[in-house]
Amino acid sequence: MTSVAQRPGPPRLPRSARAFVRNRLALAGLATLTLILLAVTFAHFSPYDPDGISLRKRFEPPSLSHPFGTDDLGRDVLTRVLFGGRVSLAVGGLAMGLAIAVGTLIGGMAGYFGGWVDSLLMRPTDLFLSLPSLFVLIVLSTLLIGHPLLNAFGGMLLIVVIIAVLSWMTVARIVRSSFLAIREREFVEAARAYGARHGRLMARHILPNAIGPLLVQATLQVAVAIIAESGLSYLGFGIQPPTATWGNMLKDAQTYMTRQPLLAVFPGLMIFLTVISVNAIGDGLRDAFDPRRSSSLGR
Amino acid sequence: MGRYLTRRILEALPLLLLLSLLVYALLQASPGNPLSQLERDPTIRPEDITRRAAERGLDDPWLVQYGRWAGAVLRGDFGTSLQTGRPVMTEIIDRLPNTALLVGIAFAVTLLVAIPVGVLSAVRPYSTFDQVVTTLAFMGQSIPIFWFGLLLILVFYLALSNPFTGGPLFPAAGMFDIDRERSLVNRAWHLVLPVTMLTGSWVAWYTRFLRGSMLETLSQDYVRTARAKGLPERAVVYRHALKNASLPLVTLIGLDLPMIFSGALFTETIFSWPGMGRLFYQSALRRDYPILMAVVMLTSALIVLSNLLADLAYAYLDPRIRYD
Repeated sequence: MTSVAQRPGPPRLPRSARAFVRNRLALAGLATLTLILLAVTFAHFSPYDPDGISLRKRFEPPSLSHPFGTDDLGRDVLTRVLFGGRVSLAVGGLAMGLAIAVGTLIGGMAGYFGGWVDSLLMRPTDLFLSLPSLFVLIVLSTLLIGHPLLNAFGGMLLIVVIIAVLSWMTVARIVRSSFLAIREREFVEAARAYGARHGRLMARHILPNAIGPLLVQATLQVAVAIIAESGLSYLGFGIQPPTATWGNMLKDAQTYMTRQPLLAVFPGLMIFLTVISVNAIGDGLRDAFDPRRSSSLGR
Repeated sequence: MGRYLTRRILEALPLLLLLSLLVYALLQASPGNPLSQLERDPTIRPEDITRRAAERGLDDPWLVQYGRWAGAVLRGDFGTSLQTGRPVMTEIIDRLPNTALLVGIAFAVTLLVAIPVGVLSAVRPYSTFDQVVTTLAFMGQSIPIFWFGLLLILVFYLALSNPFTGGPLFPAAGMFDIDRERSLVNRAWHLVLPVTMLTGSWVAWYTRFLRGSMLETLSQDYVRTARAKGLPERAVVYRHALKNASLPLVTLIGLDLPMIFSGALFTETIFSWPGMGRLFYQSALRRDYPILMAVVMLTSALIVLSNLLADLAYAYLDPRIRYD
C-alpha cells in the first residue's frame, strides 16, 4: 500500500508540474519563448545600431552580414527585429502584470465579500466587457498620444496602461468565481475561526488555491497584449517610430511590399512564434491544473 | 420567460446608460469643439464665438449638455463629421452594407467549414485528420490577423499570377476594378482575399470550440443509448450528438454578432474595403471624434443587445433551462 508513495527516485514535483513537463507542446513553447527572450536580451551585441540609417544599403536581400536583409533606410532588419522584440515583449509582460493585478483585486474582493460589494464591482466589469476593445484602444490612443505624463519610451507606458485597462475583466471574472467557491471551504472557515483578518484570508488562504486558473489566464493575457500592441502599432496608433516594434515594422514593410516583400515576413513571424509559444504554455498549464480537460495537442 | 425577458432588458438599460456616459466623457475629453473651426478664422471676432457658444448651449452644465446629446443620440443624431461635414449617421449608413456583405459571407464560410471539420475531428479523436485539424486550428488562433492578411497579399497578389491575363491572381484592394463594369463576378473576385483573411482565424476558433463541445457530447449517456438501440452512426452523430453540441455554438454566434458591425477593421484597412472598419480607421487618423464615438457607442449597444439575444436563444433552444 505504501509502495506508491515511497517509490525511490528524484524528488517528486507537484502533480500539476509533472503533468506540464509531460506535455511536449508546452515544453516546445517554453523552449521557443526562452530562446526569443535570450535573443532579445542580448540584442545589443549586434554590430548594428537598430536606428542606424545607411542609405547606400537600402533593401538589401538577406546575406551573411545582414541575415534578414536591410529595410527602406538601410537599417539591419535582424537588429531591429530583436530591439523591437524588447518593446513588444516588455509591453506584453507589463500589460499582463497590470491586468492581472487589477483583475485579481477587483475579482477577489467581489468574490470574497459578495453581496453589494460584488454588485458594485461587477457593474464596471460588465461595462468594460461590452466595449469593443479594438475601437476603444484606438480612441484612447488618439486621445492620449503625446500626453507628457505617459509619453516615456515612445509612448510605451501609455500603451501598457490602455491595454491593461481594456483586458482586466476576464481576470476579474475568473478570480471572482474561484474566490466564491473557495471561501466556503473548511480550511478557510478554520482560518477565520483562528481570527485571520479579511486581507490575510484572501492573500494567504484563498489566493494560493486559486492560482491555477490565474496562471493560465496570465499566459493568455500576454498573448492578448502582444497582439494588441502589435496591432495598434501596425495601424500607426501604438508605439511611434523610430522606436522599433514588431507592429510598426510591419506597417513600414507594407509600404515597400512590392520592392522587398521579405520585410513583411520577419516581424510577423516573430509575433506569430511568440504568441503560439505563449498559447502552447497556456494550454499545457490548463491541462496540468485541470486533469479532466485534455486537448489532443502535446501528446 | 416573459418575466426573465423583462428583467434582462431592465438590467441592460443601466448598462447602456453607463456606456453612453463613458462615451460622452471621452467625447468631452477629445480636443476641439464644434466651434474650433471658427476660432481659427481671423475674420471672426472672439465675442461672436462666445455668443455662438452660448446660443448652442456649450456653457450649460455638463448634465444638461449630456441630456441634449443623449436625446439626439436616441433619435439617431450623432452630429456631423468634422472631416466631411455630413451627418455621422449618413457616413455610417453608407458604409454599413459593405461591411455586412464582407463579414456576412465570411461568417457563412466559417460555419460551413468549421461545423463539418469540427464534427469529423471529434468523431475520430487523435486520428491523423484530427491531429492535422487541431494543429492548424492552434496555429490559426495564434497568427496575428493583420500579418495573415499581408501574407495573403504576398502570395496571391505579388507572387502568383493569373495564367490567362498575366496580372495578379487575386485583387488586393477595393470592391471593384475601377476600369471595369461593376459585375457580380468582379465583386466576388475582390471578395476572395478579404474573406479568406477573416475566415482564417474564425474557422480556427469555431472548429476548436465545436470539436470540444462534440467530444463532450459524444461521451454522454444518451449517445450510448442511441448507439445501443441500433441507430446508424450517421443518425447518432448528426441527429443526437450534433444537435446538442451546437447549443453552446448558438451562444458563441450570438456573442460574435457585433462583428457584422465592427469585425473587419484590419481586413478593411489592408484591402481598402470601404466599410465600417476603414471608416473608423480613417476617422481615427483624422481625429474625427464624432464618428469615432458614434461607432463606439453603436457597437457597444450592439454588444449588450446580442448578449441578451444569445441568452434568450439559448433559453429557447434548450428546454432544460428555465429562467424564472
